[in-house]
Amino acid sequence: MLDRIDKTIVALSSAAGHGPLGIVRLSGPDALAIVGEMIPQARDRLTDVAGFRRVSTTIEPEENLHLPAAIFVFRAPRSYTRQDMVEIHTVGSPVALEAVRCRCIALGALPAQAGEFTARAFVNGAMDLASAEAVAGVIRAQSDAQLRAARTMMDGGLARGINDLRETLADLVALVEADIDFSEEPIDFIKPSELRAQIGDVVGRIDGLLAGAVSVERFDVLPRILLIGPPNAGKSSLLNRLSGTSRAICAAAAGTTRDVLTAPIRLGRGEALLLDTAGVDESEDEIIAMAREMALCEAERVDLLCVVLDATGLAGDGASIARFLAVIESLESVAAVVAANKCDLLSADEERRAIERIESLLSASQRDVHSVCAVSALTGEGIETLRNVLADSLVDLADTTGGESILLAERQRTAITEARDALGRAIDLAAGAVETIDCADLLAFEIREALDHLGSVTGEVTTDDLLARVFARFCIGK
Amino acid sequence: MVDFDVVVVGGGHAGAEAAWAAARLGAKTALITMERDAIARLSCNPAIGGLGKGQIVREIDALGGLMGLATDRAGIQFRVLNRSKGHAVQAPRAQADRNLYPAAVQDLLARDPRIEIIEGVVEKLVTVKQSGRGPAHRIRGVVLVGGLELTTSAVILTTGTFLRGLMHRGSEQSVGGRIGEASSEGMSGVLRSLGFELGRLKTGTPPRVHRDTIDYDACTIQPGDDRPVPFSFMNDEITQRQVVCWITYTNAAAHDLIRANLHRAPMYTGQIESTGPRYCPSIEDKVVRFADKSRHQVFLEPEGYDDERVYCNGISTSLPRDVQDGIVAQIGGLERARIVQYGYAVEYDFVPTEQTKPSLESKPVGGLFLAGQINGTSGYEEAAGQGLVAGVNAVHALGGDPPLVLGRDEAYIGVMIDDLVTRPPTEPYRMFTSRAEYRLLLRSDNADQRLTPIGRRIGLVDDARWQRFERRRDAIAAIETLCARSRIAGVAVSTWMRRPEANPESLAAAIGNSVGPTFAQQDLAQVLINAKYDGYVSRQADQIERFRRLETMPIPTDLDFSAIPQLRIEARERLARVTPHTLGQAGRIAGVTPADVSVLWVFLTKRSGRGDRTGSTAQGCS
Repeated sequence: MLDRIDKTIVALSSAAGHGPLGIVRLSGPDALAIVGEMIPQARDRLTDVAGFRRVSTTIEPEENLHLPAAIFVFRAPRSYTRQDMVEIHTVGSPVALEAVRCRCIALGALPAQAGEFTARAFVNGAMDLASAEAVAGVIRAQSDAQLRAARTMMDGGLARGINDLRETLADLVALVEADIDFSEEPIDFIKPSELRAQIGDVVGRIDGLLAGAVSVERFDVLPRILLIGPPNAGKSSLLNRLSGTSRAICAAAAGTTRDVLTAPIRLGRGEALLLDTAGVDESEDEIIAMAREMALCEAERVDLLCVVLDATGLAGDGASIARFLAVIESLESVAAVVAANKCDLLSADEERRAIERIESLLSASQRDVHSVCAVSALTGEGIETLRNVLADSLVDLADTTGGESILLAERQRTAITEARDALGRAIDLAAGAVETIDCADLLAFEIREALDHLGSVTGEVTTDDLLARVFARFCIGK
Repeated sequence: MVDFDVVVVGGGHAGAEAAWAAARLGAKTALITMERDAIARLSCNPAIGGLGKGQIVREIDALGGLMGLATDRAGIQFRVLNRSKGHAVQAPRAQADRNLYPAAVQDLLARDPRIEIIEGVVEKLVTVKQSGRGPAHRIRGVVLVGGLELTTSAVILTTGTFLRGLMHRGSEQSVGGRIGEASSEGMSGVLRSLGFELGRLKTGTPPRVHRDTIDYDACTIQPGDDRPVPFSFMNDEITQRQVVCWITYTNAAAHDLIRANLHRAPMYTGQIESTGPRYCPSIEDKVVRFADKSRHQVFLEPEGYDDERVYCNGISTSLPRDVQDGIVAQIGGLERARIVQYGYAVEYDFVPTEQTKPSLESKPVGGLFLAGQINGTSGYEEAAGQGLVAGVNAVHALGGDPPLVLGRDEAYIGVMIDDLVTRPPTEPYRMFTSRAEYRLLLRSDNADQRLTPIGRRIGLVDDARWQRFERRRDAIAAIETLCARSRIAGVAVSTWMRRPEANPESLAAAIGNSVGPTFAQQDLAQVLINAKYDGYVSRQADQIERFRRLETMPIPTDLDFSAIPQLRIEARERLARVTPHTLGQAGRIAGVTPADVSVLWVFLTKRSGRGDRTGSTAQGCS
């Protein structure tokens, strides 16, 4: 990050605790121009500011995606980083925010790295000297958090895939380099046709990997909590209460088939995304079907189910309550928490009996439900307890202080794509070669670039590594 | 007592180049060598250049050094390697006459009256202790065996393989740096007493056979280039007679003999414990490690026009004499060959380069510079490149001028020295083109464009070289201007000339001329190369620009890494050991992560005062 302080960076900035709003933040000389591209009708109102201005407008990060937004302009040096900064406050849907951020990147901004805003603030003198140690600590902590996030994200096939690709490419580039640096040896390191085939194979594997990784790239890395429950159990009220706002935002999520209400919520030191299954018109059957689908579909990953029940309805036959508890029993792969809502309408005694009733209904199952909480979305009673229970139930709740760890996903995707492009150029350079490749120097440059891009995902490969590969396999030396 | 500005200890390729550079910069220079006639001796392979190394020689020449000039005089077979693999990885190589090469260097040195050659062995370094920051000692002079004392403020040590040199051939051991020459036993102790840590490395050399005892009909001929390309930018052509080399192979019988005698190989008996280079293994190493290979290539390289010795390149060995005789007798064409000098391995002390600055001045002793094998490198060219830099920087240090530190994006010499000081070698360091990440910029063809202006600025490049450089630079610019203006087959010549069919002749025609005095062949060729690499050069320039901020941010020499708690412990230790001079170097140290570099950056910024509070409370901080 030290090498690009003159470039413009962009990141999602968490809006936790401030309602279902999200902030996309830019810093750098092109911040105004980039945001101006997205709001041509109000562009002048950004650029003619000397100090600070708030502009209410509509932005269109993608075709036919119109988002209400408040644009906050901070002209240098009167900003956090002492550079021109713009904050786009818009709906908190991760998909919408990601669309805005991607648009900024398409317009020339670079994804910010951990601690980069803070680091800029520091280097531009916006911070007290005494804070230097704190800044260094933040960079370390955020790097660590990113590493954790990266590891979490890469636990699956992506990490193995990237590492396999790097191994293959490192072996290939070692052969190309050997062919250059040890051309006096009577060794056929690799034939051009073989090289083309192997690079082509890697390109194919990258394409497969990118295709399979789309869902991971598209979605927030925040843990996702799905609220389910009968109509009128108070799901939306609870969402509003947990996210601290009186209004949930409805946005069509790309890649999903339906509208989902979402809001980021603060849980202890971390954050999660709260998803509400549907609007008030949905029937019980539809809600259950949707929950089942979302919980089972990898692309719509759900980390935790929160079953919201109307505690006052337990006096009756409890048929719908039993139905929802049956849902969580059937979805064994997802942890679950039960929130008995509207307990403000019950006496202490009634509340206790309601909880016991739920627990007795659950005890028939093998399923380990983390907890049953009595809450009131209306008064806030029990909400902090629920918050703690949710936090405890999310095994992988990472410390996302700073809210920038999501960027790793984007960086990975970009890096992998650039690696593939470099390999495409390498194949072009090798086209038609039979005995030797007359531009082996350029070809090696492209493969190394590909390796560097993949290396930026999982760590670098040094020239010493490459030489070691050659010496291990071939008898070099006159 | 005699007073000198600069004293160079050692007359190998590093020492010769160092003395030449120091004298060029106006210093009264002493070159101390055991034997005047041994200056610039080719103790191993009688060849200069090769991949990575040829680029270094071109760079030395472009800066105004010796090696290219001497090679052009003494070369008996010139070849450009990798002709079919792209200009960035092409490099000149020449067989040199073992007698003519040192003679050429000695002749050039003799022309500079500021160089005094003194035969002798340095016994002691005269130093004074210093207190406070900076090096613990400062150099004041040297004392030779016999008592002669030279006073100076700058000493360049280029001891090659002579520091406690120990030669091995079977169980036979002899003290010495080269066959028939003594070693320097005392200097290692002197260095230790000044606080240096020493390491030990190993290298080897093959047997030489008498040229009249080879059956050339059983070998494959390997001719040089039809039109030899000079190393030096000062020369247009090579006119001396060229010779051929020969290729033969080892075989199963020879390998069996080696296997049967491994118990007598010092590398396997434990007699040699130090590390040899992986890229230049002994024949016994090759046979053991690559047991499946039924034969290994052997280049038979004549050591000169009139020299009886033929160098058997490929069978470096420290096996006993009788085994060497046996191996050679098995090889096709060498059945009747007589060995005139047996192969041997040599172990020697070196100074691990954590103790060396990018200027090549040592850290423990101010004014003491190290160049060549003492820094853990291998090869004449690597040594010469360091010698030139050390020679320049010794003089700069005397005058208080900033050192010459070439960037990784400027020269292979810069790559080499940066590699040495950030990743100290564990085997003899040899240049490869793959070590240079900006290889596409650092071509042998453009070494003059990259470095001659630098050489001129520091005073190494004389008027004759500068005029030649300017003429070529202007000619290239003129051709490029014409290319931008002219059109051929409906396209601009500057576009057309990227096509494969473009060559100097067709380019000259395309701009309405012909190859001749105004449009010289090599200048037209250069324009074509520049055009081909243009796009890649700008991509590499982008990469360089990204790192510029790191590369230019200095780390104060007195920075206490252990006082930065946010650095990981491993990073603190590595940084304290290597003491990088810039943030860029810090990032290249093994075990230092990008996050460590960021942390370091914050602290450096704090120190330099750029982080001062300069205004009101920041806005927009959420």
